[in-house]
Amino acid sequence: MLRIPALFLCHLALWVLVIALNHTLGAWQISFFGCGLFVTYAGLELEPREGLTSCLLAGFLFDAWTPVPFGQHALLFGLAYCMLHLWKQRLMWDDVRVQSAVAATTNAAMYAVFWAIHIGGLPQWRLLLMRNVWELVLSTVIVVVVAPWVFALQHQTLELTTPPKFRRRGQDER
Amino acid sequence: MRVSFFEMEAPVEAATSYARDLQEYWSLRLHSNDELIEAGRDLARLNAAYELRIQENSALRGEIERLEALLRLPSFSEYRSEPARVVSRDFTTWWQRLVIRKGRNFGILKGSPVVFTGGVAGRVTEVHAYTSVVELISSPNVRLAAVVEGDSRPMSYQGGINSSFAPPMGTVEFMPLDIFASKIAPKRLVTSGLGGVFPPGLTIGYIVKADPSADGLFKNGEVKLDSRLSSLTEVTVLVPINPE
Repeated sequence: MLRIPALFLCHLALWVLVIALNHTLGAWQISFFGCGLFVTYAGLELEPREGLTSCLLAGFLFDAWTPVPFGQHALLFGLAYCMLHLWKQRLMWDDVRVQSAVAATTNAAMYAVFWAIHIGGLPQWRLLLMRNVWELVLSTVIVVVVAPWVFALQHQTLELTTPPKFRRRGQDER
Repeated sequence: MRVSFFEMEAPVEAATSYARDLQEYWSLRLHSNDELIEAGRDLARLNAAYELRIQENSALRGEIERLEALLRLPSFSEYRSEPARVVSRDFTTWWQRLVIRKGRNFGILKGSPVVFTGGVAGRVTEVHAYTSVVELISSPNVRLAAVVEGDSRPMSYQGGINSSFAPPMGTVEFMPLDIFASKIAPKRLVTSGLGGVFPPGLTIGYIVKADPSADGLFKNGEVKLDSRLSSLTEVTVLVPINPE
């Protein structure tokens, strides 16, 4: 019962860190795109009811703070969750390195989708390609570095909020 | 739902900005007395210069009022200054925004101009209970009427090309053909006062490039904005006293 609110709090903490990082990076006219961190753990580890709900709530966090149509991030997060959930059987998703790689790939794919949605209306958008490349490289590096920590935080939070009998059953299944 | 989520997130972000202020306070506490004395001396000099400017301003204001009365001109809108700390900066490719720590609780109005020591910072696009969102002039979504200093012909300014590791930039369109500007001899671009949002004469930036447009009737140019725009920590909102 508490698992979804607990995961939401994790996402809120992570969102605060993302905003703080972007506040600092703003001085160099560069930003960090970290949406992939919010969906990968849920997509690989959680069942649709919990995973999709937590992804949609994380999407709403971004939607409220950014000037995009409300629900755009939520939809993007939901789609990313569904894709990961469908493809996870083909991955060695128990390995942290694989999870980090999946997070980086998902993040890059989400950035590309977001870029495609928003770049059309901008004047002289070709001049911004170099900035987009910089942002993508920076975001990928940061996602790869922090992904194990983010997944561990989410995992430990869920462990704390799961009653012991359910926790054991979950571990046996794996 | 958007407003609910925003209002839920705003206190978290405001708390973060208070923590940042506290960190700055303690870092300032580490300065030696000599440095503080030196800073105090610099401030005293600045204060003396500002005192002189205030006297000049009041004389000029009186002159403007006298001329307005003589020529029966409508007076400019009056504004109340509301300084505000920056909660967060969000500078992406697609938008450039600030969240400030004052909202409806201080009577901030949507559309109010926002200024800083370097000139125009942007305008308020969203007002919430305790916070407001400011769209910066470097944002591609901002467009306003501008004039070159000393010229009365209006042109269109738009924020836009913001490359990484470079100062924020904007573009200018419909510039008269007889205005020349380059990196060596830039032209100061100021607000025109048209549209009634921004008071006239506020610095937007400097035109550093001007090329004829495709139709040859006007020129298009690049505007270099103040580099401090990317690291703002405090801005002033000009709230209209008598909003229409």
